[in-house]
Amino acid sequence: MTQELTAAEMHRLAEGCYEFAKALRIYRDDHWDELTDQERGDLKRLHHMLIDTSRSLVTDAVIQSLIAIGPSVAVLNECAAGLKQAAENIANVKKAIELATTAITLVASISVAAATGNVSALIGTAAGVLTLAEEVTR
Amino acid sequence: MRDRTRGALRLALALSLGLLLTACVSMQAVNDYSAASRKTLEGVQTIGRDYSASCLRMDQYKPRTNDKNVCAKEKTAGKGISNAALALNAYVSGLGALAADDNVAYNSQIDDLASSVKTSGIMPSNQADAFGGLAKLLSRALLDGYKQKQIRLYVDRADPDVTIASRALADVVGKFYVQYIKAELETWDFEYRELERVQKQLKPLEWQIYSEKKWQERLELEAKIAAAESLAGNVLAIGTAHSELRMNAGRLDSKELSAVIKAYVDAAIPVIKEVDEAFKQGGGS
Repeated sequence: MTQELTAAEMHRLAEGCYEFAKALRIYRDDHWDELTDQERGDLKRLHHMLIDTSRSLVTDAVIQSLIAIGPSVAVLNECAAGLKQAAENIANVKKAIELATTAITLVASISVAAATGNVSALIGTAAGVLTLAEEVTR
Repeated sequence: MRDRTRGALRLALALSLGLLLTACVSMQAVNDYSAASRKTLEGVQTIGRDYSASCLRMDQYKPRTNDKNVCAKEKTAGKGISNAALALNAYVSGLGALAADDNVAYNSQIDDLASSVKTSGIMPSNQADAFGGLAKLLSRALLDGYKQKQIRLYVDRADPDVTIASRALADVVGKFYVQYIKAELETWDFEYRELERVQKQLKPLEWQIYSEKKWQERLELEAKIAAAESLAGNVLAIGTAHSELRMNAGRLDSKELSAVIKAYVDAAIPVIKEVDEAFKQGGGS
């Protein structure tokens, strides 16, 4: 029966490999003159292999942890999108106030147009109201 | 009779204003939480980048190869760390954006509206001014209410996931990344001693220059380990402080919440500086 290691177990193994590599280095340094070239070379290879294994195990632990929090990251992304939408809704309220301002100007323009017969100002203001209304309701 | 009616109207108006004012809540605690968390998470993103950079730094100790997939797994891990931090960052930034006090912008828009009402002749000038004042009060109360409702909704919804993500990222930063850099440091020690045995006697001047450069590298690695260990505490606190926000979501302006968030920010700031220093230009890659 096989069982996958947890991220914490991988980390503990990585620590073990690292501690072993460190002990080998210290031994090699302390007994440098007593060791043959062959033995020094063997210890160097073993040291590097243990360090590579330690770093590889840590990287696996990182990847496994990140996979495990994938569903939480997805929820956070959804919440971030929801908050962004809420902020945009507030921006729309600002636009609605702007729309009300323009609409009131339109009412005033209608009175002026009715009294004077000059409709050009009325058309301009009406176009502005329509554009803003489109933006608010988009 | 008329006096009594006026008095009742005044009382009703005062009560209405009082009610409106109580709806205006300062969300400074949410803003402060957001700002400190964003800085902390930027530090985590930096660590994500340094994860794959460390793999490339280690390459100097290995025989040259033409392997195009060199450090592929480490690049995946580093990018994954940055992306997870980015997701949490986007969420806390969203909270901050919603809690931001943007009433100044509204006030100027409402002034435009009141001025428009005044010039339109729809209502007398003094009434138009009163309309503007009330509109400011109303819009603030309504917007604050809307913001509070949204913040409460999302803080409640995201809380378990903020806790899960912050715990996992704290482990990644404070345990896994630290172990990864310790192993890089161990290789540094091995290779440095090996070279020292030969080069120190053979080329003393060149060795002096080389040695100084290498010791600088070592100091940078030690600073990164210390900074990452401190940063892990900050990352974990993102989750615990968020749970405090959730518990106090109904009273975001309470003194208790302000005190908790102030303590969170005060603890986070020196760590953020330590991380900035450890990963500053040249130390972050």
